[in-house]
Amino acid sequence: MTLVAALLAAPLPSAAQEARPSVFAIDTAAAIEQTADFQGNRLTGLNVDAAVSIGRPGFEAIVWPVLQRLNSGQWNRDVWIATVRYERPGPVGVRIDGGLIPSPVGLANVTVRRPHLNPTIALPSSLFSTLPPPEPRGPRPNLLGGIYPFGTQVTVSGPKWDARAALVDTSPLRRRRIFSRTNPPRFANLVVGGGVTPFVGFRVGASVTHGGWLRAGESPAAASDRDATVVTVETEFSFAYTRLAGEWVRNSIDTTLGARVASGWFVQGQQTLAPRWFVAGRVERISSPLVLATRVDEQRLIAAEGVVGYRLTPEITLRAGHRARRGFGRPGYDHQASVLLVWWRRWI
Amino acid sequence: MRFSLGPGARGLGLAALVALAAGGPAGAPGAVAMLALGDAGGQEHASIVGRVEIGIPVTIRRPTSTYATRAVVQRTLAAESERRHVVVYLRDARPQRVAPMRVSILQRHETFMPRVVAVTVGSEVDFPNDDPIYHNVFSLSRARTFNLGRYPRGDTRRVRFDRTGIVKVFCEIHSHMSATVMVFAHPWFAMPDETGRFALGAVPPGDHHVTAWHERLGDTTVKLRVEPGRAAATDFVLPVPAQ
Repeated sequence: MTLVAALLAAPLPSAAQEARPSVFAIDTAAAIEQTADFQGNRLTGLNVDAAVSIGRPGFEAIVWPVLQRLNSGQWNRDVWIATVRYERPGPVGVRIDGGLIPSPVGLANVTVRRPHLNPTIALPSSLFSTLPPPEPRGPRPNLLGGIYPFGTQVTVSGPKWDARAALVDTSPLRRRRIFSRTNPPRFANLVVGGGVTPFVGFRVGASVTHGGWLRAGESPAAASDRDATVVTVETEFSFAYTRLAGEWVRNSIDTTLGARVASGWFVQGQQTLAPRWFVAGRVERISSPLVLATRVDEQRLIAAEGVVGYRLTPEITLRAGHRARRGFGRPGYDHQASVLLVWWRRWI
Repeated sequence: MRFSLGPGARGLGLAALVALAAGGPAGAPGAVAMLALGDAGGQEHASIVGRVEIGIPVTIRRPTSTYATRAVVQRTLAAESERRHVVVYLRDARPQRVAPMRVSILQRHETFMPRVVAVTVGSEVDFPNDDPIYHNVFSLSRARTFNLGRYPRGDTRRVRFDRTGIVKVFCEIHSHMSATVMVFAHPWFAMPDETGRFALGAVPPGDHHVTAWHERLGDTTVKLRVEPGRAAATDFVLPVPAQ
């Protein structure tokens, strides 16, 4: 008691009596996935990442390193985001990002890339599945790749609207990895997008991206640089225990054989059944042009996934699901069963 | 933290509880005070009064915004005395029959306000949403598991707490949001005011262990002798300095 009284008599830092926002904000996610197909093949995937933010409200620096063991057995280490961000809230909020920024294009890129945020087990195919090459012996693009480009983005928003513009060095059709030796060339791409939120929980947005995607000489037939225009429409709707999201993408790809169109969409949903239980699913489809004129002038990728999830703790989630996928040019569906264990932890 | 739930629970016939619930949009955060008045046995009661100080800076989580939403979120973390997030209680109190309370934890500026509440068993807590975005309040704590789903500004959901213990509350959408509901089966608990002062009323005479709990700074317990009809004083500096 004497000691406590003496300590009380001593001056205490007045700042200690009020909580302060932390300078560091760190969270990590780790996920291990076991997949088996009906031919008896078993694959194990691993994903470990960390989101590190340093700063105060207003200015912050954000780094997002990732380590992955893909189902193919290949290891991938990368830094997806390394950006400096300024944010000013208000009636018209302003945010400016510069550096290796989150993709300014698309919905999946900002909602499901981390395993604890993805309601299912697999990611939308548009992020990683390549299309058939639209150029003879040319590179295979993505419909809308999971990109983290160098560039700058300015976002402004009010209570019921948002708008953004970005200038980036990466085409949404060609993924670049910061540690890869086989990256595609850099292409300047301009992104303009926006959305409206008529009521809380419902948003509709769209974006247009235009810029180069193919460098002269990358294909034997490409004598000059080629451009592509990517149009996206996205929506999210949440109510009660249900959450829905969908995205539609249309690419107009300039090739030596003329403009080719690839398009696709996905719809996903999550339903909370009980405090610990939820179900989720995704249906998706991608249509790609064929490089040569044949009777069939496009190919399709179709996939569907259903997942049951159980939240063991606020930090650990177990998911089990089934995935059916028919890839480009495949005669039938491949079926896979997967189990995913996700551990997410907010440290500071 | 230890909660006593012994079988010999005695009723406090004249126990009256004064509960100040934080209500309305401007709610008084942490304004939960209790006073047990009198006793069926006519025993002369005492009180415990004191002051709580926080000895080291306490930080609270801010958002990790690796994924920037397409809109710029209006984030303003409320400046609030951290002393209001301390709960002082009799650690060795025997379970009593207590009246339920009604309190409110507001969701505003992506923050639960107040961040800590203390209630009696059987109490109900409202979780109104005052943000222009969805929240999804849930808890997987052993004392109470619930998931309130997503609901917009203006809506509220209510949860009843029927078991003693600590219930950690989160928002499924915003990982930096957390709150704590402490549920007691006796009336001898209090939350300090802005200046750190607290009072436990109608305390039975005798030796007691008094604990001051803070979610980051842990438990600090002192042993105290309470004489009939007198006020015993004890102060806390959290965390306990190294001896």
